[in-house]
Order: sequence, then structure tokens, then C-alpha cells
Amino acid sequence: MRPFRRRRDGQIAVNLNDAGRDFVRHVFREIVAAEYDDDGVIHPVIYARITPGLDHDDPTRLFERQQEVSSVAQRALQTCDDDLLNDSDAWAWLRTIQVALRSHAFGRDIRTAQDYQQVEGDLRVYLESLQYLAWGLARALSS
Amino acid sequence: MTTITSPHIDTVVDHQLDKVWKVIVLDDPVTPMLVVTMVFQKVFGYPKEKAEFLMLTVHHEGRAIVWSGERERAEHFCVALHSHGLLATVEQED
Repeated sequence: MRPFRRRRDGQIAVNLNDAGRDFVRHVFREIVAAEYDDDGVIHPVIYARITPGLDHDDPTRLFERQQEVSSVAQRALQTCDDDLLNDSDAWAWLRTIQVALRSHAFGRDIRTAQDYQQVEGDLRVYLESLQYLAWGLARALSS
Repeated sequence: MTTITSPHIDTVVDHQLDKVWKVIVLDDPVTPMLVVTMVFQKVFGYPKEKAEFLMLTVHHEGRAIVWSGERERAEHFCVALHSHGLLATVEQED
């Protein structure tokens, strides 16, 4: 069964068991908390340079990004027990999962396909779970 | 009668504003291709065909210029891409 499916009424049905719900709740909480965790694996990605050619980034843009990531993750967290998502909520899930996916890869120096091929164990399972959920949401949103 | 003379005002022109700025998306090994395509459609409003072409360019070339124009909008788009979990940056055109 697909994890997410577009229904005839336009809503997206969430087909996750308790373990799946716990997993996404953990992911969403991690991104919400990342705003205050300077040393965490998520932080460097959320605070990556925007315009490296300049001496410093525009503070307004930095604030805009911080607010955007945080508010989207909080929205995802608020809906993580819902059985049906509208498109806006489904995008909040997808965006938060995608930020988590890339942050964990980036934070462990997984920059190339060759790097990724060498990943094993729990990290591999974690990244593949995030990929599966991101892909499932994208597929449901595009249908 | 008072004669008013206009003060001499030096103006500083920021030539960076005249140039074109590019939004560049960089490849990463974990993001599903479908997600990249959909984010391009959502953030830039591109049709599916253009979004897929850009996604494949990122995948095969390692990077792609996905938008170019004034700096402020380029940075806005870059922030939007970051908040959708893509690896992006802004560069000034040579």
C-alpha cells in the first residue's frame, strides 16, 4: 500500500501505521528544534550561505528562511496525526521531510552518489525511509 | 530675496544592482528526482516539461541555472529553494 494516496475529493490520505507516525513526528520535531540547536546536524543546512560571492548575506533573507523552515515544520508537526491532508499540509510534510533528508546527508558528508553508495546500517535505513516518504508525498501531490 | 542653491550630493551607484544574478541548484545524491521537479514547478511556476528538463540538467551536469534576473528576486527564490530542502545558491553573472 502506498503511504500517501490522492482521494477523489482531492485530499491526500495518509496510510502510515503507528511506527510510521512516530517516525514522521520525530522528523518534524527535529526540524522544529533545529532552530535552537546550533550544533545539530540540521543547523548548517538551514543556515547555509545564500550569496557566497558577497561578504555576508542579507539579514532579511536569513530571517525569512529561518521563519519559513520553522513555521512549515511546526505546521507539519501539528498535522502529523491527521488521516487526511490538504495540499498545503502535504507540502508542509514534504518540505520538512526533504529538509531533514538533505540535512542528514549533508551533515555526514554525503555529497556524491559514490558517497551515498557507501552508507550502510541505521543511517542508510533512515535516509531511505525519508526518501520513500518524500517520493510518496510528491507522487500523491502530482496525481 | 534668498537664493537657494541646491546642495551638492554625491551619489553612490551600486553597480551590482545592474548585473544579472543567477539562481543555481546543485545536485545532491539523496533528493528524489520527482521532488526536484515538483519544487521547480511550485517555486517558479514552471510547466512540467521545463521543470523536468532543469531537474535532469542538475542530475547530469551537477548544477543548473534555474532562474536569472535581479538580485533581490534571485535571493528570494534561493531562500524558497532552501526551505524546500534543495541545495541552491545565488551567483552574479560574469
